[in-house]
Amino acid sequence: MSQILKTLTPFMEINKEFPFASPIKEWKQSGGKVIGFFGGDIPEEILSAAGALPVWLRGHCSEIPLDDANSYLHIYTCSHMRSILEIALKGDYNYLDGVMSTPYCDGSRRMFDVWDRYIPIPALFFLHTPHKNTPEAEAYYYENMKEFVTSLESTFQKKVTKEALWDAIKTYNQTRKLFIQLYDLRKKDNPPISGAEVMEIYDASAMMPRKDFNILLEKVIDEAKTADRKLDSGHRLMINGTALHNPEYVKGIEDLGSIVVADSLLNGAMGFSDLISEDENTDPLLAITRHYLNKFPAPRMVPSEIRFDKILQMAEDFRIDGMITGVVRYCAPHIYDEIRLSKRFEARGIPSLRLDLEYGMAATGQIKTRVQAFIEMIEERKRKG
Amino acid sequence: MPVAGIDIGSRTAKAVIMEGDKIISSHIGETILKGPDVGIAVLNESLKLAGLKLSDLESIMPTGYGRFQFTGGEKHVSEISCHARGVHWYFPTVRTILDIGGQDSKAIKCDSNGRLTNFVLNSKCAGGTGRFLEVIADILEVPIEKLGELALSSRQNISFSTVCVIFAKTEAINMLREGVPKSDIIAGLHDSIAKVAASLLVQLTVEKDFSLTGGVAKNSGVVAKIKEKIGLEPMIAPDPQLIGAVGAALFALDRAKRRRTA
Repeated sequence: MSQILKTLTPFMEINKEFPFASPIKEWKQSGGKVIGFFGGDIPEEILSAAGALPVWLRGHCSEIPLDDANSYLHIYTCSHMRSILEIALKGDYNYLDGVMSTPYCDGSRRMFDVWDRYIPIPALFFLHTPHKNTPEAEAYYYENMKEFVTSLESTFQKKVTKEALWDAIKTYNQTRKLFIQLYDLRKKDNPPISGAEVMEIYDASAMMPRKDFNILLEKVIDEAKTADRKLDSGHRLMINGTALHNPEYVKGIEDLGSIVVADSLLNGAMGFSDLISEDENTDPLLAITRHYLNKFPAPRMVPSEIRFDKILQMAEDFRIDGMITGVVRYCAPHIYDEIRLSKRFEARGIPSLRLDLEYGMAATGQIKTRVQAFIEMIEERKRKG
Repeated sequence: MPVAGIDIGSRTAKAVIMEGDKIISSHIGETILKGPDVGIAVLNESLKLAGLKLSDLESIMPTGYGRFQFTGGEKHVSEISCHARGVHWYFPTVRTILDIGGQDSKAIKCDSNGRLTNFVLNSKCAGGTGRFLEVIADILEVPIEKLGELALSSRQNISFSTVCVIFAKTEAINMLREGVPKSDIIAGLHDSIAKVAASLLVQLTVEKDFSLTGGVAKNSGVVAKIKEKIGLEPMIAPDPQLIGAVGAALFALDRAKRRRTA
């Protein structure tokens, strides 16, 4: 593979500093508040409009022993949540001024409970989120959003103004617009950026102020556009699954003769593919409410067909040869989602592979064998036409 | 010119030397004893048996978990493709393969050319694989190669509630204490392995001509139980443990041929 994109360096440097990266440190030093969250349906725009820096909590990009976390959460809870908890119990998330969650999945709910009971934290926020998108659900969700704003205002003693909300919406939309540009570049025959590199960008996006992030992301896109960098496409894969963060996992897949050109990851395309309406005649909070109900749905949302159609459309747009789903054990929503999704892929003649992962792991021997055989199978299918 | 296929598995490494369309020698060695050099060690043994030198080989194809560490070979192929290819060489009509290895089991589908078309593997855990049998053989103080024979003399059906090595070990020890004959305990464990295998096959479609590969296919007790569960007579190569290496050697032949004609 050709040299890594130069403009990725700042992101990679930030990722090396996980969990207390320098942009977060600088934010704290200038007196700003930091709210950590987990779950893919957190309206970061609201946290940002309240003057806080939202940080998407995650675990290390390695399989660490979860000794402390296992004392608080049953091992049936996904290793993703337990990995976050392990860091919190070790005190490495002590810089947080608050933690926020939604009823995203059982794992995240139980971890929130543990945080509530056992980990000292100045503030906790919980936003009830519906599982479906109906007028009643929207009304319910909107009321909850308002309550959430009120609790933020009383905690931080600061009014969340409409202007601040619109400003945050525009900033976060700018990120989405940039990602959409980046995704378009990945649709090319020889994409100028690898899946592992995109993972570095995703990881950094969770640990820095969005305005700064947008400036850096724009530079990456400029370089990717102009550098005349054409990665050998091999076979075009899409990666799916819960939140995955380890670029080495993606690199392991790509090193076996493929390029990851698309994803439907919680921390990736699921959050960056759809824009919030910027119609300033509406209430910004309502715009946010509608966005989070309408955006690329996670497996927790029903009916599932909306999600499946979206992913299948991506498979077509990105001309993928195969789909690899990484299921972090024991992520129940994704396990059942994968089975139904893979059937729909097979019906379209696109092979799919499920990998059982522990959170944080790179591509180990067992994974490499499965991926290599999968790529060999794709090769055979293509050869036969 | 002769070529070699080396299948470096989690428990054993296998080397096969082929010339034209014939196997001229083979060797199986334990992975644990030889460390990272096990691939070259089994290759050297089989070269010695064939009366050849390393430089006589036109191509070497590594496969198996150790393929990444093996240097001096072709760009490697996964053992899943190698099993399909190896079985097809022995039994061209086979389309479904069940490979039970040292630490994983795989259900594999191939086409009329022996090319991989689909596969399913067990999850990360080694329950229901060769390692499972090794642990149990050790507890029961029965040599691993005697397990099959002993199980076939079993008089009563015992069912284990788990394929977890750790839990099954506990259950087996309790049964031993209660005086359950070893033959029945072993037959019960073979049944567990067959269940795991059958559950993998259910995820693919089983076609009539199917083959068993991997070291565990040498165990007549497991074979009998699988036959019972699937309802089909498996086709088994003379040494099913060598199939991955045979497939690798066939891929090595392809590469050598491709270079000659290029």
